[in-house]
Amino acid sequence: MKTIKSMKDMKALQWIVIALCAVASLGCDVEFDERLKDALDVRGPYRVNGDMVYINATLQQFIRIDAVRSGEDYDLEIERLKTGKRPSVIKQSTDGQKLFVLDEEERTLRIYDVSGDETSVTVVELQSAYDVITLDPEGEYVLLSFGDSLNQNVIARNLNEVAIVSLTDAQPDPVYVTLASRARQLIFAKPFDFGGQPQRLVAALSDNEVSILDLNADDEDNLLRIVPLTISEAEQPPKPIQAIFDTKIDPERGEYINLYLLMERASDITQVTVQPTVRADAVLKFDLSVNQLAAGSSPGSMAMVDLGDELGTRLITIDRALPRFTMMDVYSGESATFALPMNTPARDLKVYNATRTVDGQVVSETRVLAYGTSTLMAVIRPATIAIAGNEPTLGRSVEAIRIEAVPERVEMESTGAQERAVIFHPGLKGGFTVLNLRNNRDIPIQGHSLDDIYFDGPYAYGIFRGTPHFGVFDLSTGHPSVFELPKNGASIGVDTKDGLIVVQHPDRTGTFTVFNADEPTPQNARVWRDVFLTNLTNREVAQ
Amino acid sequence: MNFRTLNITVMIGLLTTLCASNAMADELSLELENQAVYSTDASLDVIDNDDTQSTVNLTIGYSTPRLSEHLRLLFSYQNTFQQFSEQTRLGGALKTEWHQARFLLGADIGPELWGFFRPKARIGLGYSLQELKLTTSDKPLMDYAHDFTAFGAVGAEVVLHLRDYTDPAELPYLSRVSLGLQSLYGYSYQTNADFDELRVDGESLPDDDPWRRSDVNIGTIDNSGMFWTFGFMVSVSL
Repeated sequence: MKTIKSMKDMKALQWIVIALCAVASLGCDVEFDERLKDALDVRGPYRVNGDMVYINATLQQFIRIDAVRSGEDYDLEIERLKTGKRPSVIKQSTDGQKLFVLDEEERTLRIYDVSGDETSVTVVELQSAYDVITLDPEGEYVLLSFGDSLNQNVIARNLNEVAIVSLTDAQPDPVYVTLASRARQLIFAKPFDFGGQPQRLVAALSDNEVSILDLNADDEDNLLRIVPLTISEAEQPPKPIQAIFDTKIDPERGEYINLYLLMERASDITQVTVQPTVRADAVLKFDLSVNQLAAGSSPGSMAMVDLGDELGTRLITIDRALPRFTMMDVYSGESATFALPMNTPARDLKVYNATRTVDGQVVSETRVLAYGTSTLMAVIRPATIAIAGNEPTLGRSVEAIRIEAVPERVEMESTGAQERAVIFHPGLKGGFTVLNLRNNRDIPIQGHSLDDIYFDGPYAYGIFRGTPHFGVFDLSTGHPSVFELPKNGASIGVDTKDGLIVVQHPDRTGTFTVFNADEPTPQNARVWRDVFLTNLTNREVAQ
Repeated sequence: MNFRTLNITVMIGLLTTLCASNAMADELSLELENQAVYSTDASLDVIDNDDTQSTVNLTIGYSTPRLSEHLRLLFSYQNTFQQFSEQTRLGGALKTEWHQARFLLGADIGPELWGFFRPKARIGLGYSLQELKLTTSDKPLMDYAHDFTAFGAVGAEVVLHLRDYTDPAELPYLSRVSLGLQSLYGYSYQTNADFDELRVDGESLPDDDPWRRSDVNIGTIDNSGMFWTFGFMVSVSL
């Protein structure tokens, strides 16, 4: 029988046993990361200063992708920040510099400021898990409310509650208001002054009432004002579907602003006038008065046009049933209905400013583009229409444009001269149309339809549907230059700072091709795959 | 060389070594074990559904009284079972297939008590080769990681010496054989595997592919953790 002969062996054995027991005591089970079992849910892109921003709701990450030059080559700089546990609703500010992300589980609003090279984030704690974000076009406020979605996880929530978040505070502390009924839409008024005092108002459209929120109110009585839409309880309350504020104050006419409301199935526009109270002992800050403006037989949508001091403000409504529109002078209350040179009713209106040369001088003119489901579109020149006069002459005050195919959507040029629109057509090979808004000339581009377009000065960059190509369009001539992609594209952006074109492909895991904007050929490009999986194994990111 | 070819080559090599070394070793042993590694790092969730990786251990040992009566020198080849399983992640957006092979040199030390029981401590170090295949919506991507690995373990073996049951004069070869069962518990350390150069196999792209393609980086995998082994051994006294 063998025995332990060497004390050295015994000593070594003893030390190894002690060391291993110590290490073993450190071991502990770790739960499987259940997020890896969920479907990959990446929202975006949100384009910011040439960068592309995404919210990876599955892995709870904010992802900012910046294409940069690296010598003769290109690189992708990826910034990742944490989101809440269940990002639900995302909205980008009008100027594109902020991204607002509501979190359903954590009940927070995360505000990502992407204006600098590095993103900063502010987390606002909320009382409830809201699901609608309404942004102030001026960037001063965010309103949070509840939409129509039924949330099965909710135990109890006040659907009429609205949270007001002031973005001017470094660490916003929301103010909560309970409306008399759930807000379907919240419409901000542009800032205005009454007696030198700055005012901010919001119209809350509910199913059967309209409320006005005074964001600068000091007391509860003034914070929320309900607009009296009916004069007796026997009258059925109307349902507002669209609201427009007119905050232009003409001192000659008095100190007041107007809110125009379009009601469901109504034949008139409700004009709500808000003015400072005239009684010295009044508790309430504003006096509200209601008036009706005739708006044709069945108005479906309205737009407001400001025609300067001479002609004032006018409202235009399009008829739901017939191809015609009604124009109203909001000061006199006069209105007149005119035919549209279309064969189906218009469904949407877009107001824009076009320039034209009069006696050698370039003057700006407000126009309205009306379009629907036919190949005929109409451009209305409201300043040339006399409401009390005769019907405008076709081709002068209202001009028809016949396009090659039915419009799917219309995007107005957002940069540069802003005098062009691109009309998307449905189908794979419907092509698209570049519309010169200055001379109402349309340039049909035959070929594949467009999936995405990005305007950058005199050029537009578009992704073709169903083919691995993208196009660069000279907007002045409509001439398309077509370039090859490694696979079909989904969205396109331009990084003007680095002179790069960034194309995202439709893969869920994030494939990108970066081109030199001067010569976008395969030789001047680089392809990245599975960008949303970068550092998937080390997926926990910083706050 | 793929992992299946590598497995076969290594096994043939170990058996050849066992046969060829007969003439010069005092005792030669062969161990076949299953090793369960409990790696708890979250990075493993991408390639594995739980914290346990099953590994086949094939170890050849050599001991001689000229060094120490209680010392056994070892060479091990380990291969993970994970190579047979493809994991689906992110609702099917991603599939992973992970393989690992390790080559280790080590030693164990321990006295034999009562002629059948040997408590022991074992240490070793070596090389780990990991292969990761990642499939998304396009052609599969591959990357390899080369890492240092080391381990320490304690355990015991129960040995049945056939010489106690056979007549050496009648069965001279069989009486030199011992059969045993062994178990070890320990900790295995491994440097983090970098999978930052996942790329498409060059052969699956056309020769005239004009596009410059960047590698995919899905991060590092930490394979260190406690382990437990159980297996059979056979040794031959020379």
